[in-house]
Amino acid sequence: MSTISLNVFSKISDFEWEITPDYRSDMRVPVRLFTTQRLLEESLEDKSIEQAINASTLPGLVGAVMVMPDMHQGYGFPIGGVAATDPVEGVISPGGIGYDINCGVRLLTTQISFPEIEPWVNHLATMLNQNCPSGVGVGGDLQLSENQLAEACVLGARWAKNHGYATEDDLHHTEENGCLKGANPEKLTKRAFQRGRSQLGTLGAGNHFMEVDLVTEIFNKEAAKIMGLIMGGIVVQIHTGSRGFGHQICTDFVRRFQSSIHKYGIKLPDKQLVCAPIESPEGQDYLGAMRCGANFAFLNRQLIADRVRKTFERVLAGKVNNWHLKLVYDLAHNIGKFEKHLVDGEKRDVCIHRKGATRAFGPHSNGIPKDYVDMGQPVLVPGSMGTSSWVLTGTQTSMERSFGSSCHGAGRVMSRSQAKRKVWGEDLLRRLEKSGIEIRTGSMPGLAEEAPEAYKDVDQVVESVVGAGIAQKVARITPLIVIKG
Amino acid sequence: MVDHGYEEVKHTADVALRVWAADFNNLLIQSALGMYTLIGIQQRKDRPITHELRLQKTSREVILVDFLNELVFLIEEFQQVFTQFFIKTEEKTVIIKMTGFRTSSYQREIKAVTFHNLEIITKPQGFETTITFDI
Repeated sequence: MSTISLNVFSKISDFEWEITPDYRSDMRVPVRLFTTQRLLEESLEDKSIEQAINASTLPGLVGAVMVMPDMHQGYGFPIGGVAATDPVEGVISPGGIGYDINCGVRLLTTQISFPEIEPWVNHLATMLNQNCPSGVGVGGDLQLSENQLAEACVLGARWAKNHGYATEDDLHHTEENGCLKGANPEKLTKRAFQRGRSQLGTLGAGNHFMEVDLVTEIFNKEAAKIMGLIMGGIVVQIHTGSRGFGHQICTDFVRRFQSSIHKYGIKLPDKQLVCAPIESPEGQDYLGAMRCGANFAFLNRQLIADRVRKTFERVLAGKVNNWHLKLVYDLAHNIGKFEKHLVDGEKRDVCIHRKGATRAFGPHSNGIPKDYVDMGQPVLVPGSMGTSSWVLTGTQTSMERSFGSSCHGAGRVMSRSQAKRKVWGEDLLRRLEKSGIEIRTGSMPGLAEEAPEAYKDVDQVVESVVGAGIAQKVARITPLIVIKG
Repeated sequence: MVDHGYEEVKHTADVALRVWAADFNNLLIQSALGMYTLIGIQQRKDRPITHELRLQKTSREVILVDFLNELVFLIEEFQQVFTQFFIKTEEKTVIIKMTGFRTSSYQREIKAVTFHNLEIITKPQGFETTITFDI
């Protein structure tokens, strides 16, 4: 339970709130929250707001620390947080990016309609579960040597293209074309290589998933058409990140920064916010290593997408007219990047930390695919298991108000143990199957932890970002098949 | 209060564990056992295995996180779980000799052990801390 009450917040609009820096003596910048009063009140049930205030004490911050409506308590930064630091005066904080570096989502679309796929849904679920490694401690088929992995984490999704697992069009429809420049494998530990070499092409466990969904509502016909989304059509979502490779990179640098922080005289309210000046040797080393983790994750999702495509072909070829899957977009929601943003009316370079937040660049922004230039980049918002997910687009307002960022999901409201106490995995499985969703999971307790009631209502989260003007609705999608590790 | 133990405490997204013990060495052991419980590890009690860790002697919090992160790595990479710990502290090093077994299964992946609000508190009965795990 938070010690903060609602009267601490200044209301800017029904969807925007602010805590001014005079609230606590160590705050350097305001905390700005994009949310409704109802969701804000729910957020006071945990420590997410305190964590956002803690993040506002980092040296060299510019603008405000932003918090999205799907915010919930993390460690160090809140999940749903966005912070920008000055590239010269500012710091980089591994905790502001997270252990699962470049955890993200990709959406693929098809021209398959529900009646075409209906007879094959059960078989498709089984085959996707069989062909796409998922679950606790499950490795992939691709075993890379240290040199191969070093090459892969410099090239990112381009490595997949070079080895026949991706098309050029896939790369164009991936944030940063699937590759952050400046990745430096020399900054990785032996242990990171050890953990990463057998985990490419794996989904993992926890909240990671794969879904086959149905487009059930379209709000922006033009944008949907450009993305290849058709009413009643089949799409696929893949949610995963950099697996043990990224976890180890973050672990290594959080540990290293615990020692180096004293050198820079930085005092923080929470050890997990540990950071280093961007221009310091430690900061530069982390950036080089973190980009390797980010590229690993882009590649990981691409390799899983390749498996999904092959499975669709195996199950549906000859049964439906066109079984091909086109990538709509792939984006990160745990990442650190240098971007140009408006700060106090001036465009300047900043180092953006997004922790459980999605890039949401508006129309005509640099760095978005050519076909999306006029409408803004797709913003993918997965809902909780069994509920809707959303496809949105970034807006000009997001560029002006939220460092081109928006929400990343529904956001938890219930702890995992609470969820397991309230929900019996087998009951949930039956309930979801009764509503027409095919579930494949390796763990019933894991399924219970991800029960829909453990999350906020994703529709309310979406209404908040749309109300704040930092995203626009394109389509709602609902699940047919859920694969959980 | 029992002189040592652990219990899961509420955390919205991740998991947290409150651990207490009469001395620091036992706090490390209780933290390891608590973490194994969170992961839901099953052991394959066939051939015992041994492993030795040598950790840099720094602050108690850093030693605790280093120790648990080593155990996370040993689970993920070698499917090893340890049940007995012999801890010796030298001038610059903490040496932990461990015996245990291979895991037969586990239910949850721990991505990392965090430093989030980590503080080892000294109490009349010994030491207490709360550890947050990223899962």
